[in-house]
Amino acid sequence: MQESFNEIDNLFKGNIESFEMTPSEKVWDSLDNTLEKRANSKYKVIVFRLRAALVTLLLLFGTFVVYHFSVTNIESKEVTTDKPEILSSGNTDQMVSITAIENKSKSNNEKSFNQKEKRNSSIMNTSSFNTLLNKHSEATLKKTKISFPNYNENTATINPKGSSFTNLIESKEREFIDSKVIPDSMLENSNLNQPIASSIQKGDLPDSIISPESTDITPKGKLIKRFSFIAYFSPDLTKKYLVDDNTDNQSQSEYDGQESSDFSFNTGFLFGYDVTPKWSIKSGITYAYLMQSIKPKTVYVKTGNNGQQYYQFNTSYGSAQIPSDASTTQLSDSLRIKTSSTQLLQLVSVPLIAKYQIQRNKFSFYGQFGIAVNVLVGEKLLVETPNRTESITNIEGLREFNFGGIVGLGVSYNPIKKLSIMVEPTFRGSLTPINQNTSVKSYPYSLGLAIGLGWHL
Amino acid sequence: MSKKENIHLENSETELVRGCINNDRHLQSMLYKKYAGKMMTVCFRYSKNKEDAEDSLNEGFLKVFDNICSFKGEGSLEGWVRKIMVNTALEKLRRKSNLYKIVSIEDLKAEQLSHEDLESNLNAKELILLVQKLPPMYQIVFNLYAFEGLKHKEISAKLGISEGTSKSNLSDARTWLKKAYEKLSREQKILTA
Repeated sequence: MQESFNEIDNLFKGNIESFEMTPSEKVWDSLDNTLEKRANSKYKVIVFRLRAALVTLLLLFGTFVVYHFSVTNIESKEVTTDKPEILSSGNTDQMVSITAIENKSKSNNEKSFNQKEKRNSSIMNTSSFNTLLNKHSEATLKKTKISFPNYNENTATINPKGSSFTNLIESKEREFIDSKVIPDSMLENSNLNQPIASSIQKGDLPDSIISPESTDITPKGKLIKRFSFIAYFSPDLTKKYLVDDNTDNQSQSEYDGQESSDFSFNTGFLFGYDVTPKWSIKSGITYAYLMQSIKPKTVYVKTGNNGQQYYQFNTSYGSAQIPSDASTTQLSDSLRIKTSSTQLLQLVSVPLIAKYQIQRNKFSFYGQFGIAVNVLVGEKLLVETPNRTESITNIEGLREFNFGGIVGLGVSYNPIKKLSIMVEPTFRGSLTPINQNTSVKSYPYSLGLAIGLGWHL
Repeated sequence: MSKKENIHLENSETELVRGCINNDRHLQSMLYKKYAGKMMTVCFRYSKNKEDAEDSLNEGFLKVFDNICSFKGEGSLEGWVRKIMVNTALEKLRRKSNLYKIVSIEDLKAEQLSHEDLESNLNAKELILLVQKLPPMYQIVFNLYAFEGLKHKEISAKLGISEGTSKSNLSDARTWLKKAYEKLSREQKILTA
């Protein structure tokens, strides 16, 4: 009997094994088309990434331009001339030359006045020059910031003892790095375009002129806070936009009916930089936790390339393989999952956000928008099979990273000078699908109410 | 085959794999042409008709091109491609097994086996079509045992059935094939006479 069976095996194997059939040409045509489409889609992905990179670059460039423009505006209100000017002598018996140079090293060297001192500075300034003239034939005021708060812009004249300053004072703030006070006799013999090597020391100036404090002062006298750190937490209502590419029977409506969002949140640390009093940029690192529940469903058996069989659990994000329990039960073609399953995704993002704010006393109202690179750091599907609960940590089809957009409004309250409390209704959405090579492309989005604390340096 | 020829074949296989990884359409086409005939026969054995076999072939080659970067060159490329084809066709047959009508030996007629594509090789034609006529589970077990060389333990693990069921299915498949072959041989003799 066994010999007879072996003969049958050999008869079939011997004849069929070496036999080659020619498939119809449509097989290769179809393959060729599919490969061509995939190649095109890869090309599209590359083009998209280039576009995303371009948008990011434009955003960064725009931010730089806004920053540069704002800094230029502030500085243009300060004295910019760096050439010595001969001031009209009027009735005085002395000529005064002052070189006013814009402050190029603010942070290190600025000396300022309080408002009261500023008010007096115009008077003291002229009188102090006279005093100094008595003490020094020529002098230099080094890195000393002097304000003229009560001067009109483009004011032409100060008349201490009949002398005048013309076309010199163009703003309410001035810094005189070199102030050269030259007697007539010396002036006659000297070239004013050459520096005169002598200086006025700090101790030579009246105390009321030099303030020991160092502070940034805007033209309005308002302090600018440059950097801030923000921590926030946002419970999110998460949904997803599905696009069905019609290559499979699993349609968008099927997933819509099966899946519903569950508890999700977003949290993170950001640092902010005030580019101008109204514009600022924020970036940092954030973490998103997305969870959805999936209604009971039937899953079907598949065979992997290694010959191992498993049940394929498809979701709108991707598909998971439920291992078959073939050692204890017979593998059937389908498996009924009788309870709801849970799927969760964890994403770490690096956002770049532009923020425009309007200050009202202790409150700031703002709008913000930006982009983010989202990196998938965790994925899990919890399924209850008849025998046990499966925790599957590999979901096929999910992309390692995708791009997202952020739009939001917010209000912040400053209970103390450096601390702010923020409330921000924020929309976050995917600009690119979170998955690939799946029948349905998923674009998750969420609406959250972020509560945050900011600390201004 | 000489040593030189072997080296040339290995090189060309490596080039094929590299080209396919780089999505070189010409080399993908060459790989397809090299194995399409043999793999069509494999798919045909696990299918119920030519259309299904071509579907499996198409799907199988897509898997080959998608996963070719995972081919480490540890075995032959043909063996690796064949394994993918078997799994693909097997999956399709199992999924559709309830759709096919089970043919009894009494219903088999010699005319049913005529096929214009196979006229050049009558023995192979008859035999392969007989395998196709087997009930799905018999067809799978017989193919895995006789052609893929799997043991009952491996078949039972692969299909999620007991070893006893595998042995029983194989025995039934052989009996069915033997009777069917004898019957059709007799009928063919009558037809040719």
